[in-house]
Amino acid sequence: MAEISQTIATPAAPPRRRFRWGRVFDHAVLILGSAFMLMPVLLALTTMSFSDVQIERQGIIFGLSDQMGANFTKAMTEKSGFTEAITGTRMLMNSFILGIGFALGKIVISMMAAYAIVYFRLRFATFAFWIIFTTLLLPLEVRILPSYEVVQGMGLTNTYTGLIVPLIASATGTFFFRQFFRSVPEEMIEAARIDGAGPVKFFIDILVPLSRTMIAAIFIIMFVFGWNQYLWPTLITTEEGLFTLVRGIKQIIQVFEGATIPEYGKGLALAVIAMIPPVAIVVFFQNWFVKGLVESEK
Amino acid sequence: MKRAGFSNPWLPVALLLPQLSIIAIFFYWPAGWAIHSSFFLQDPFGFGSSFVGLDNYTDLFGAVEYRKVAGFTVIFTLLVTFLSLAIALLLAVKADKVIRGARSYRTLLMWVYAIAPPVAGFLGIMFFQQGNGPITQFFGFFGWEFMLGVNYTDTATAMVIVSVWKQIPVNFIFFLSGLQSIPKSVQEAAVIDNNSGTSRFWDITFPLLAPTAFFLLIINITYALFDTFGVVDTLVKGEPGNNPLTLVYKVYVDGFRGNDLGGSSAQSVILMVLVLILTVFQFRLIERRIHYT
Amino acid sequence: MAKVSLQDIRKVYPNGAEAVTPSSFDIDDGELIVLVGPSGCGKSTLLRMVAGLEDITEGTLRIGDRVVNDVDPADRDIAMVFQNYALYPHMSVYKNMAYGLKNRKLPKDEIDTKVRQAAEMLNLTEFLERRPSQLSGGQRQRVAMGRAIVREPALFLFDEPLSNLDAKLRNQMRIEIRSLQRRVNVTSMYVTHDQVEAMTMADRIIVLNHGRIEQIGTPSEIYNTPASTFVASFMGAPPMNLMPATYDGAGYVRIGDKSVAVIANGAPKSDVQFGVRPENVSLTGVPKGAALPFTLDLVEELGASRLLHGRIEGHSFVVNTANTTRIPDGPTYLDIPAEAVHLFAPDTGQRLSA
Repeated sequence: MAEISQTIATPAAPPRRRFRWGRVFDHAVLILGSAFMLMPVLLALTTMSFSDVQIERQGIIFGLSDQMGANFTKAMTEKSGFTEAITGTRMLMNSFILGIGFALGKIVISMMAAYAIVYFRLRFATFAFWIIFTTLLLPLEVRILPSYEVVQGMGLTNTYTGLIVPLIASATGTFFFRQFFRSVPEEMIEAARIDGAGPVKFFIDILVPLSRTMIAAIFIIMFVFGWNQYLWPTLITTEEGLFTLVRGIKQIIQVFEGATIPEYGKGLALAVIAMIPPVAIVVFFQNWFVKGLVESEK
Repeated sequence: MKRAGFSNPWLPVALLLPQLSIIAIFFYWPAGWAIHSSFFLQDPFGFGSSFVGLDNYTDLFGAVEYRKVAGFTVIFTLLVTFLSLAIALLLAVKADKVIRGARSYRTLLMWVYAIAPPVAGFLGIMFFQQGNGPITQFFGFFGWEFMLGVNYTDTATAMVIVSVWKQIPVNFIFFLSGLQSIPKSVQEAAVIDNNSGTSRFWDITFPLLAPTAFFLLIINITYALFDTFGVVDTLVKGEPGNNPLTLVYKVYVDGFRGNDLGGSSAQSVILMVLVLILTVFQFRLIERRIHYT
Repeated sequence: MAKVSLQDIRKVYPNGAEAVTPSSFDIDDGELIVLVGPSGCGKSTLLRMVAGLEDITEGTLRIGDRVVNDVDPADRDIAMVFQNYALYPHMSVYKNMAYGLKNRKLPKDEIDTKVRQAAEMLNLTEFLERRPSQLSGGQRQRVAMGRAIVREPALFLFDEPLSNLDAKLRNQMRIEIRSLQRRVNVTSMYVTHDQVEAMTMADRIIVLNHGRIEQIGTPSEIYNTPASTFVASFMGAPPMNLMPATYDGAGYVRIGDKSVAVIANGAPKSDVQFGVRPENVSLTGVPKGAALPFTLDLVEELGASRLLHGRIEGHSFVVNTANTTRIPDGPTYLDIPAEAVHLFAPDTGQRLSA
């Protein structure tokens, strides 16, 4: 028999650990990186708490003053733009309409299409798939002028429809749901059919609940994507009443140019308001967001 | 297609109809129109147009202006892609290693994803402002008199920095998820085979990350070509003037400011061809990727 | 080749959990030691500490004459075979095997000779240029073995190397690994949760439970004289029958109102755990001397043998008999030889009798 001595009771001394410079270096790199990402926005926030005159004189300021609330109020309620027709509140609302409208529209339309492609015997399924797939190749930016002409021809400029629907004309969502539906076990539909579920029942009772996290993930990505649209809204909305916050940024900058003392505080406040909703949703639903992003690009 | 798929003849058509009609109206029609009008010359007063064959294309390639923009776009794309990939890779490798605070680092390094490019550009304006922008002052400290919107190189520098800042999060997220999908035991086998961390990274980790990196390469090129529009537009403050421009920005300027429909369309078509080439390239890489797993 | 010695090796995780209590044992030169135990018993942690993949909280680890606690894994002169093989997916079989040697700055032709030799030994020669993804599970397993062998290490570490294979392949690889280890005669540490693997492959077995060594011994020692109820029930399939009983201090154990003769070497009168291996009892139709009445519930046919599930005195009991044994029609009795009985302390589970 062998030598056993594991019964010697030793007091639980704190684990001896080697100090590693490598680990310190790792953290240093990460802290530096985080600061690089964080500082611009943090400084924008602190600067926003100063008055326009002070910002004009000092530029970006690290510190806190008392104008934060005032600048926010100004940004939210004061009418601005060339025709003095829009407030920050209105822009915020338009941004939400664009973000949510786009995300929902995209999800509904692409889920339906993906369902048809994956779950039905369809003679032209492959053809439909390729028609949709090709749209992945050309982002809106490269066909921006003719798209504008088409929307203008339909009289949809300065409408929410003209703003949102053309943005939906790509296949990212369809692709994403197609991948997901294909990964749903075959037995699911077989069991459902044996239980007497038709195509509509199966979709609503089984597939949609199964896709819940996927829907949440894609919603976050699409919401951020829609909210952050810039070029398309710039072209389609010329009436200030329809401006989104991101679209309004350009207006702010152009007003800066002419003024003796530009309204920096208000401009920064609007920029911050334009960041808060998408940043909040990405930070709070981080896991879904990362999952959606990584999966959708596969 | 599932084995036990439904065989209802009309439902799938109805399900596909919304997607297909939106795509037809807002994708195929405009794309076709772009190709079509790239062969026409628009009457400056809006009275009809005449077929000019490839003139719009030859004009473009002959124009010094266009070549300059194309040249800048190439350099800009290379810089943005390389820098944002390199920085993100470094950060992802470190974030994958640390245990303490890993989640906080992840959040801090990815949240900028949610910021719109023009908002990033606006922050850029504040930071690169002549006179009192903090980065301007920092450069001034080294004797570099930075003039955003006036000096070509300076404006280009600001564009690159802001675009890289905005793109790091996406690359970081993908690199991190790529690193996390490398089996732990493979890393451990490498630890037993090789005592140098650096050479382990290049021998094992990096090759296993290569599929992610190739994929990100395409994503970043596409980003630098198209999605930086908002950054460019804000940093030049809507005044192209003598400033550096990207190809997409020029499509916009010529089409909407210059009313040169034919020329702008020809530029669109060139970009479409460029994207197609990139996509084909990407597919060939995906095929290669299969060998790994 | 080297002797390996662990002295009061202990592992405490930063969250305070003690994965391995201070444990000591030596592995002789060329010996194959199997660490066996249920999942979470600390066997893998112990192995990974020896590999250098986990920090050793306390204790001294020697490979050969060298204390290697703070030596990098690559410099410990070890080789490891992982559960999922951990082959480098982007390298050919050849490069997988050569990688460790290349990093030791061996000359190219020497590497080539060693890799080809190992490939020959493992029947891998024709696959040298393939990627791991193009190989079957058994072939990958062999590549993992080859990668370990070419290094000619002082110590082989195996972390459940067979658990990803199907049953048939597992039996075959078990024999291959054992004969290979014999041939190259390298000291080895082998972790598994499968007691059959442990019994068949080991020179000595270490049974672990909750981060503690329960017993160290040769397979027959472990089987014949289990040190505790845990070892008794973990090693052997079906496990040893255990039930509460009373020892009368005079050579008999009482179960309910029946008595069984035991060899107890003068142990005092006390409550005990009474244990008998299912294969050490015989079934009769006639009550002789010390025979216990056995209520038969179910017969499980295993081909070469059959398992009889039933009860004695209300406690479930399994008997393993040859398929030639006739099962009596009427009441059945068990004949339990005194030398087949194991007695354990009811509270600690420690072995009482010899």
